[in-house]
Amino acid sequence: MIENSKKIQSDIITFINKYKDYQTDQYEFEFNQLAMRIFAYQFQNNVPYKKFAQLRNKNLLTVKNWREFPLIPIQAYKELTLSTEDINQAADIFYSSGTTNMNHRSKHYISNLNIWEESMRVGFRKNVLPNTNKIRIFSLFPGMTDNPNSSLSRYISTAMREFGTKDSHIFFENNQLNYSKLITALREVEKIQEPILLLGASFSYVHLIAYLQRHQQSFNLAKESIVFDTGGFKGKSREVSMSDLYAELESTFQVKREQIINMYGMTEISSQCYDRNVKDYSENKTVYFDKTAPAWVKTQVLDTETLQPVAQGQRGLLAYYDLANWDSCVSVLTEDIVTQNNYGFNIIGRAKGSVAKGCSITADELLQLQ
Amino acid sequence: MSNKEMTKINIFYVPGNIIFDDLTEKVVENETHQLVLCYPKISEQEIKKITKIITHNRNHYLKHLTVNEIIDIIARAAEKWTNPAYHFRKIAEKAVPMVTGYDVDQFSLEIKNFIRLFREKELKRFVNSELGQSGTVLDDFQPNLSGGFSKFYGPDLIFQIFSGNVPGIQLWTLIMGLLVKSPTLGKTSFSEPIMPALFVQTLAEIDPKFADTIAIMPWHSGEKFEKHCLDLADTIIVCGSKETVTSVKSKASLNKRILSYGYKIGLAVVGRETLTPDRYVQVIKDLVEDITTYDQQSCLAPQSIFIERGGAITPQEFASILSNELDNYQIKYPRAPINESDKIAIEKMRQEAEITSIKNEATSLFRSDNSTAWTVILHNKNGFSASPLNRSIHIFMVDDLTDLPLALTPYQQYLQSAGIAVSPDRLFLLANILGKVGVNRMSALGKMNHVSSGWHHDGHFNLLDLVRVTDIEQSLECYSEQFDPDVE
Repeated sequence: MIENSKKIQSDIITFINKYKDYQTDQYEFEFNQLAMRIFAYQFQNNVPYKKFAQLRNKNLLTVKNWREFPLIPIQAYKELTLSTEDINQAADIFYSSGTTNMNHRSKHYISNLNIWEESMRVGFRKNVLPNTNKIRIFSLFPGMTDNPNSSLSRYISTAMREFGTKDSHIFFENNQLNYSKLITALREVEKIQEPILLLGASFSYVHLIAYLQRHQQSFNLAKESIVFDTGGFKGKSREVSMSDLYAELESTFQVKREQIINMYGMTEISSQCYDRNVKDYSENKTVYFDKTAPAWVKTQVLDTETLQPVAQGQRGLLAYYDLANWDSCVSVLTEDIVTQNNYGFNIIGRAKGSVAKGCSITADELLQLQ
Repeated sequence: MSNKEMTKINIFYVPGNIIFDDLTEKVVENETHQLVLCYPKISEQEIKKITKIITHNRNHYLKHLTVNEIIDIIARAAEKWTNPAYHFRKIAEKAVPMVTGYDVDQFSLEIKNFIRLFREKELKRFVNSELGQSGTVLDDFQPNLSGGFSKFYGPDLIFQIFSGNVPGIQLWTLIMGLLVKSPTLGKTSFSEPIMPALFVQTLAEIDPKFADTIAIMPWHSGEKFEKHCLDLADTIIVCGSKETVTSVKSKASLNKRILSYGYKIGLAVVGRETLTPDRYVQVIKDLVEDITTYDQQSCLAPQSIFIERGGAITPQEFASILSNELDNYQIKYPRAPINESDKIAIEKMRQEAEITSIKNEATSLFRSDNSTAWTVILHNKNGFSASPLNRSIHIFMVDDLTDLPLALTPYQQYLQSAGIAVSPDRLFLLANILGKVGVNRMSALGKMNHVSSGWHHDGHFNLLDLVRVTDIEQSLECYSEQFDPDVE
C-alpha cells in the first residue's frame, strides 16, 4: 500500500522534534524505520529514482537498512525530475547557481515548505544561536525577494524572519553589496555594543574584507557576535584558504574564532550541517570545529575506488542521508571530499576531474577545450 | 630496520666530466623492494656548462659519424636490451612498474616488444622511409631530383621536454635527435624518468663519446633555468598536455622551431563482417589488449569503439563479452593504481551513463564490481567521446561504417590512431573516410599501442621535420665547371 504523504510528513516533524537535542536507545532503530518508510515511498512515487535503484539491483526487498539506499548523484538533479509529488504543485523550486546553461542546473522541487523550514529552524537554533532567541542579523547575501529559487536565499529570509530582530537588514541590493550602508550599520552596533549575526556566502566575505582593508576599516563588535559563512570557494576567481579567511574575519571584526561558524548545505538537500564550535563554546565544553549532522541526517564517507565506507579518518566522498528530503531522494552522493573523526566531519574540497599525464586527452580535459 | 632489497639508480645522464656534489634521492618502496632514484639539483651555470659540453662533443664527434655508424651504435644498445639478462633491462623491469604502478608482467612484455623497434633493420627502415638512401643526405651533398645537390643538417641543439605517460616512449624523439646528428638537452618527467636515463647509460657502455652528446634529467616544470634551455636550443620538442605545450610556446622566442606532440584520441572500428561466430572472440581479445596496455595512458589507445550493427552478435552481447574479457584481464594484468581525481572521473562517467539510461534507456553501463578497474558504456547511437582512461571505454553503434564522419568530424584536430577490424574489400574505403576526418594512423586491433618503425607521429614527418636543407643548384654546378683549369 502506498503510504500517505501527510502521514510521512507528520512523522518526520515528530522525529525531528523528538531527537533534536539528544538521542535515546531507540534512536537508531526509529531512524532506520522512518528512513525505510520514506525509501519505500520514494521507490513507489519517484519514477526516475526507482529506475536508478533498479539499475543498482536495489528494491524494497533487497534494501534492509538506510546504509543500503542507492545514492543518487548530485548531477542526477540536473538531468532528471526527482520528485515524489506533483511538481506543478511545488511550493518552491531550488535551482543551483553557477552555470549559464539552465539545463545544467540542479532542480530541487520542494512540495511544501513545512519540513524544510522545520529542519532549518531546529538546526539553526541549536547550532548558530544556542543562547539567544533573536539577534540583529546583517546579511551579505540576497534574500528570497531579490533572488528567488535559491535555497540559500530562502534560508537567509527564513533566518531573518524567525531569528532576526526588527533592525535586521539585508545589505545586498540591486545585485551588489551596499558597502557604505553596511559600514554605517556596523559602526552603529559597535557603538552600542549590540551583538549581531553576520550572514554571508564565503566569497562575499572575501570581497568585503578586501573592501574594508582598502578603506582601512575594522570593527570591535560586541563579543557575543557571530560570523556565519557558507559555500567555500568552488569556482570563484579568487581562491583563499578558509583558515586565512577566518583569521581576517577575527581581526577585522574582533570576533573569536569560536564565534565563526560555517554551514554546509546545498541545493539538492533539505537539511544543513554546521560547525559545532559555537554550540560547544556556549556550553563551556571543549571546542571542536568539526561539522555535525542533525539527528535526521546521517552521513557516510565512501572510498572513491569502491564506494564502500572508509575507515575513520580516511578521506572519501560524502554520502548524505537526509530524511527531510522525503519528497525527492533521501540518499545523495555529494561531490565533496571529506574526512570523519569522533567529533564530526571536515570538508577537504570538491572532487576534481582527472588530468592525463601525457598526450592522451581525458574526457574532462576535452570538455574544457570545447 | 628493513631487509628489503635495495636498488639505487641514476635517473639522469650527463657527460662523464660533469660531477654533481648535490644529488637528491627519492625513495619508492613496495613490500619487497626499496628503490632509490638519484638526480641532481641543477643551477643555471651548470645548464650552460652542460650545454657547452654536449654541443662541443657533437661538433667534434657525432657530426662526423655517418648515419649508418649512428644506426650501428643505437642498434647495438637496443640489442643489449633484447637480452633478458641485461642488467639495465632487469633494473627497468623492477623500477618502472614501481614508479608508474603498471603491472610488472605487462611492462616486461611491452618493453621487450618496444625495444625491438630500435634494432638495425628497423632503424634503417625508419631512416629510409623519410630520407631515402640510408640517410646519406645527412652525411654529404647528394644529387637531388631538380638536378642539383642537397645536404640535410640537424639542429645545433635540441631541447626536449619528455612526457611520462608511457614508459620508453621518450626514446623515439631521443633517437630522432641522434639520427640527425644533434645534441639533446632533455627534461624528463618524474612520472617516468627511468627508461630514457637507462638507455643513454647503455649508449655510454657502447660509445661514451656518443652518449656524451646527451644530457637528460628530471626537474619540475617552471624551474628558473628552464628559460635558458629554451633560449640555448634552436629546436624544441615538447610532448605533453595542452597546458605544457602552450606554456612552452609562449615562453620560447619566435625564431625557435617547436615540434609539439599534444593531446590525441584513439578509436577502434569493428565492421560487422568480423563479428562472426568464429571470429568475434579474437576481435574482442584484441580490443582488450588495446584498452589495457598501459591503461590507455598512451594516446595510441582507443577511447571509443564503433561497432557496426548487423553482425552475428548484437552490440549488447559484444559489450557484455568485452566486459567479461576486461574482468579476466584485471586478474591477469591488474590496472595500475590511480589517484582520487581519476577515480572520481570514472565514477562521474558511470553516473552520466546511468542518468542517460534512465532518461532514454539507450545507454547501458557495464562496470567492475566495487572498484573502478574497468568500465564499458554502450550507447545505442552513433557518437564519439573521450573517456577518463584507465580502462574505461565507450561503444557507439552505427548502421554502416560510412556514418563515422558524422561523429568524428568535430574532433578532427584531436584524432590520431584507429584500430580497425574490417574485411579487405572495405579497408581502403574506410581508410579514405578516416583519413579525411583526421585519423593519421590505422593499425590492426590488438596493435594500437605498438607503432611500426616508419610511422608518422601525429601525421607528421619525424626526421624531415627536424632538419634544414642546403641546396647546390644546378646552375652553380655547371658554373663552377668553367673554373676548372684543366677543362676547355
